[in-house]
Amino acid sequence: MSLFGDDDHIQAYREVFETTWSDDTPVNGVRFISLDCETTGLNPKKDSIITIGAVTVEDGSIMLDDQYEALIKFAYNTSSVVVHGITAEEAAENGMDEAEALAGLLGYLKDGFIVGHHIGFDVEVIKHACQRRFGLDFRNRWLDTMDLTLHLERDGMFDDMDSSAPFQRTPGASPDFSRSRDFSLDGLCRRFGVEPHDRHTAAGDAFITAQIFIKLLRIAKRAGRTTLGQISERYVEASDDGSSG
Amino acid sequence: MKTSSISLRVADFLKGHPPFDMISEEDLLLLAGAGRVKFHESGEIVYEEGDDRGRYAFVVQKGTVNLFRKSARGEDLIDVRVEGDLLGFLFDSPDMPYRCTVKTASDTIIYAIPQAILRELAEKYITVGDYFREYFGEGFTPRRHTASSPENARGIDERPAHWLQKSGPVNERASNRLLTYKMDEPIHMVAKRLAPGLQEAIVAVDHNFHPLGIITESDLSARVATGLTSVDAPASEITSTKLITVRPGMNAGQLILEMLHHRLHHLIVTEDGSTTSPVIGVISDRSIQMLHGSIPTFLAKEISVAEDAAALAILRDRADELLLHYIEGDAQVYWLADFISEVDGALLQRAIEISRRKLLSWGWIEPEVRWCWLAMHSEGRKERMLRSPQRTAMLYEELPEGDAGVAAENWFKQLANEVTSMLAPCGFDLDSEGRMATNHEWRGPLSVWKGRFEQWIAHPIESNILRKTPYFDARCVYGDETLLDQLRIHMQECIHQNPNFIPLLANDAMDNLPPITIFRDSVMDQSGTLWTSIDTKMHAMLPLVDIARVFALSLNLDDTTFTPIRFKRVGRHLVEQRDLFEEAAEAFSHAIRLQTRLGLRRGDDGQYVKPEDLPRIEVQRCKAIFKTVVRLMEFVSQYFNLEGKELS
Repeated sequence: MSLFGDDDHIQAYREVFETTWSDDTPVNGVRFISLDCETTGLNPKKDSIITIGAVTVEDGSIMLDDQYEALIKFAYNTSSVVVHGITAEEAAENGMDEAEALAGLLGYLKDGFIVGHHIGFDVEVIKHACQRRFGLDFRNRWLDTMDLTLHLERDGMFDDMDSSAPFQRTPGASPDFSRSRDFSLDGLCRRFGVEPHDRHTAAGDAFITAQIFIKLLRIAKRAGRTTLGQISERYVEASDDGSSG
Repeated sequence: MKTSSISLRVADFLKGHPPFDMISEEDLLLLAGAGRVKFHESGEIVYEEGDDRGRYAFVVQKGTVNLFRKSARGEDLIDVRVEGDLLGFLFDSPDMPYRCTVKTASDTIIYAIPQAILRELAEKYITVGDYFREYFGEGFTPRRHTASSPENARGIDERPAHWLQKSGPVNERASNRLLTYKMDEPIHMVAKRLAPGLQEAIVAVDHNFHPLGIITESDLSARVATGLTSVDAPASEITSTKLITVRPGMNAGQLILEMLHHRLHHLIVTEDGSTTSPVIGVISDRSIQMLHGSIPTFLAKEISVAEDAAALAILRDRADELLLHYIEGDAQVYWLADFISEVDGALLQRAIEISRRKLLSWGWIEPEVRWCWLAMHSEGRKERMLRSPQRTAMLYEELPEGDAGVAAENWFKQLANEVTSMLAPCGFDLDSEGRMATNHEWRGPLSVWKGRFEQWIAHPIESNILRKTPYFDARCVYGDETLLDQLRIHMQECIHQNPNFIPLLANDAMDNLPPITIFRDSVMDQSGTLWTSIDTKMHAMLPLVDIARVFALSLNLDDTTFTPIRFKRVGRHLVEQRDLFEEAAEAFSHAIRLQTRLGLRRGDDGQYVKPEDLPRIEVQRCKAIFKTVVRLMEFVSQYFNLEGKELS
């Protein structure tokens, strides 16, 4: 590997975007990557990645044989250590260099369509890191599970309180779904009856998000959202004049 | 970084459920890491009956699925599976298309795991393979190490599952410490050889080294040390010539049963087990005790000298303690059945001896006719592991006419009263319906008994045969067994003359359909009603007992014995269905073990148990037992051509 990472990986990464998903691609044919990062802080330009966890979702299934996980060495502890619990010393001992981790991530990601909760931040952090390390434009498209949930809510998929409402049929799911507007990852776990194991670890959150995502995909299908464009639309709150984004 | 937290999370879940709890974390990680997580909304089909079996087996992570099978009526619900349950995996026939349709009953998350890796793990971990064979095979198949279950516990058994089944050390001990003498040697010479204390008995042999008798340390103390016999007298004077010989290779459990049965503390081991082959050793209960501890031979001795019901009751309680000890130690159920019937046999024999003596002391004259005492019901079948009310009968020769006959009848009645009242404090309550030898209906000369069976068999409905079936499980536990043999011959003649009897009995045996399934804390019966308890007796044991009896009577297997042994014998006659009957034998063995363990632990009859009080593997086992019962019932229906008897 060169100072700027594995050239083959980077080149392969660039090439894969020559033909990639369009908005019309049916959801079933897309390789989604549920991803989460833990970082040293909340500034994508300055802060660095500590851990990356990612798992593939294809055709409505989480592919456990296609996942990526990395712990990256970082310079000093910040206040975020209380959230993810990883210290700089621990990362120095067991982690890898950022370049190596990013190259590995790119090799794994290819043109996978990234999925995550509030994923915009994670993508920004990765984007800056790739630019900084390899001078590379990070090109993967992404969708935010929170946006998708809000769209589905606006589609009326959660209005119905009768027995066909999806959250009611899910064992352990909250019965107050349509009345609640808690769209945090923990809130979605409660709504969809997903066990919040390993919260605030990158791999744990990626896996939890993947489980929520495969449920959202089913609801989206019933809502008529069957193409990539239809499920990845950014959500904009309705303005006072009634228009929406 | 190689460790995958996501695979670890899935492996963690799997680890909480059998058989994954028997697999190392490393292997579970490999399995989980090759899997998929799938989500199905309520009402979706996971796979359909007849479809090709795919690459994956499935484990329910969250939710509930229903299993349906096509039938003449449409679709029958055959099982309900919940968190941690395995789906779509058939161990014996990996290429067989799916045998049922699986439909989700709620939103469900399923882990799909590669069947190929599961199979590799089943090879690597014997317990996992056994688990799959038992629960994901064609039926309730015997575990690998029980595949060669002996016909009874005195048969050949080389399995080292438990110390009772271990034979090596016992054999070595038998051959290493053999002492012999000639019958004409003086006693003091023989005593000198025994003196170093290495062995507690010395065997008399002839010139071919064949056994002639035995002298034990206690013989020396009782006969010589007391001065009854001179030390210079020939050894033959104190030699016990009642020879019980055994073959080499018998395990501790078998040797203990022999000692219990013959009320002996020493057995002579000969080359072929007969008295006409050379001696190779002598084995004592003390040696076995030293090797293994907790051996029950003292019970037979103590019971044989107990003087009253109170003393017998204490010893019988002790037998239950030992039974629980052995059952928890995973002793073979065949051995346990033999053990407890030996103890109860000794108890009854002692109760009869004491009662006869008592009657004599009261001036009652014992009639000079042959007679026997019969155990009925579960004791008749040698499977009364938990103490239950007495079901007994007496059978005797024809009594003389006139006063002598009346006196004889009175003597039998009085004896029955005495024996029954001695057994009651030993934990054998009186039967609430009076089905005991004390009642004249359950006592009588052979001709009367023949008449009873004739009536029952010729007019089963009018005789309310359902309440009489346990009387077809009669076993002679004291007295002249030939009387019962004669009664059995007559019974068979009656059955032969009344061809409708067996189908009717078969029909009645099908009355207790087992539940469809057990899931979470519920038991679902055939009508879909949910119950909170498993009924070990009605759901499993009773139908198996009834079916085994029907076949035993139908095929004229003229001995009454342990239900699993009946099934094995039936399997030898109906060879095409041998596997099914082997399966039934295993199913019954598991059911009785479960009931006995529950009963002994809780101090009740062990009939009801809540699913949540059982380990997951035990619940699986119960479900497998129910499946076997249903399969057996389907065969019964077809074999006896029971039209209109529909099973789910």
